[in-house]
Amino acid sequence: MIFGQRRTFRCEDARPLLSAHIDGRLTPRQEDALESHLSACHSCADDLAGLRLTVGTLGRLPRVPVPRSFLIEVPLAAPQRLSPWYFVLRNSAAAMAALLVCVMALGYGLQGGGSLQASKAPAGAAVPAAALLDSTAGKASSAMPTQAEVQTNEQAAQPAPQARQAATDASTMTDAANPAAPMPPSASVRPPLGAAGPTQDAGAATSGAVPAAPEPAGARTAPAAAASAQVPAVAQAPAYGVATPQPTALALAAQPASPIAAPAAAPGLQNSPSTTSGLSSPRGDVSAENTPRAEPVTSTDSFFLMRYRDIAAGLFVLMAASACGAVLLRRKSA
Amino acid sequence: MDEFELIKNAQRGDVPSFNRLVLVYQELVYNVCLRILGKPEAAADATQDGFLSAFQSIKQFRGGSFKAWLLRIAVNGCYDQLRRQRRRTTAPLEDVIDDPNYTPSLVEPAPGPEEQALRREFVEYLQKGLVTLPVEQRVVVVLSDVHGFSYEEIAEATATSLGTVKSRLSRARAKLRDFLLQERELLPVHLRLVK
Repeated sequence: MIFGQRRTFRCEDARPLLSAHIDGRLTPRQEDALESHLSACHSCADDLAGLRLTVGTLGRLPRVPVPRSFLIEVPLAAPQRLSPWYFVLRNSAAAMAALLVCVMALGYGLQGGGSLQASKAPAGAAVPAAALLDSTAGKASSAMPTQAEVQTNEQAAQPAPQARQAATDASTMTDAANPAAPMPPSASVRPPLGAAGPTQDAGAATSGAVPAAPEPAGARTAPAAAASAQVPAVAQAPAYGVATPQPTALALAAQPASPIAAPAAAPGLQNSPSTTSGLSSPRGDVSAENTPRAEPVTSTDSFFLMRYRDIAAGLFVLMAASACGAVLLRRKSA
Repeated sequence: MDEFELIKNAQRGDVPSFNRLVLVYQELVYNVCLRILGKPEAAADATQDGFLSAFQSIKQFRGGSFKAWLLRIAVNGCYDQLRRQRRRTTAPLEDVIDDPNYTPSLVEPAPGPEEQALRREFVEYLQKGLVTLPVEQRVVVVLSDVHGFSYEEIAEATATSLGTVKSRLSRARAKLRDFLLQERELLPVHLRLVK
């Protein structure tokens, strides 16, 4: 090709452009070259005419109506393809929910049982005390009772210390060796020797009746522990068999008010400690039998009681997260 | 509700919305399949399969020409149908139209029976000419010259480039022109090519 000389546009160059020329898809330069060639070449012009008629003929093909409906039926709709993780998250949420219910139930059960256990001993003693006492039940005052009241109070008070001691024993974590001590040895306030008879006669203090037997010799326990009807007897309960000084009536009267202790601490009364460990009497046995035996709280239970709310909260968070993840996966798959 | 909203609803799994799209495009899709396959029964199957596939994969539609996207699925269904036909018979595709079960397409009502007969014969002849083309060229010429698709829409429907569309269309038209010239007397008088 000589520089500056236009290359001759031949039929071989023109024919491939005819179809695009019909559709107006040529560049301006190609259009000019083709037009120039067609004006001079009848063969290519006839080919173009043939192509135009072919295109026109094809465009006249009639539209055929559809022979039937092609609507999608609902059962034929695309099935949801759920991710396998959806099932994992869904089942995890269900498992967390079940665990949460169990933890909450166990926690409430242990908490309620523990409080029940803790309150049973003094309550058990308080019931007969309340039954016996006309007006002093529930009173925390240390007012001077009448003689009859004193006697009644003494009688009612007798089982209380022992029962309290039983509760003390039950709550003692370390004293697992004596979970069922037949005789709560400490913290039982005995009535004066003089009041033993009426006490026996009353006999109403069934659940916590203190034996009217003679004072056992030997170790005596601190009535200070018995003076308090509170559960945390762990702090106040002395060890079994540990001798503690016998409090005076005045000391007892100065004790913090409690429905049981106050009548027991009536001035003028000699409160003797009750039996010590190992010493028993028939009445003591009865009282021991009537005293609800508290289950010792294990370290695991105590830990669970302290932490079950946290565990439940954690399970709830995991359950919510799993459920949210499952819902998101389902929406994504839908 | 416009097409965009119908598509959005269909992507959420709303079958009635998709069926409204089916009502809009079913005649187009069926006719494309009919001109490509040359058989009404095969065209109906390809059309139904195409719409089912479209519904199942409509979430993958990311915008653009829904018509072209739909036709791409339909054309792929036609390819599948042709492969099945090849497996069933060893007869060449050109002989498909000689199938005794073949019934000519319905034609528009003609003023007279003679013209109607001519038209029917013409249509059959034209369909036969289409079937002689290679499948790729047949698809392009049907979309372009029978149904008026643009080069871009054809490229999208066939998943090819503009240059490929131009090339295939040029060759298809040239072959059909030569085919029609062979049986010029079958053409309507005003369409007979004078050479």
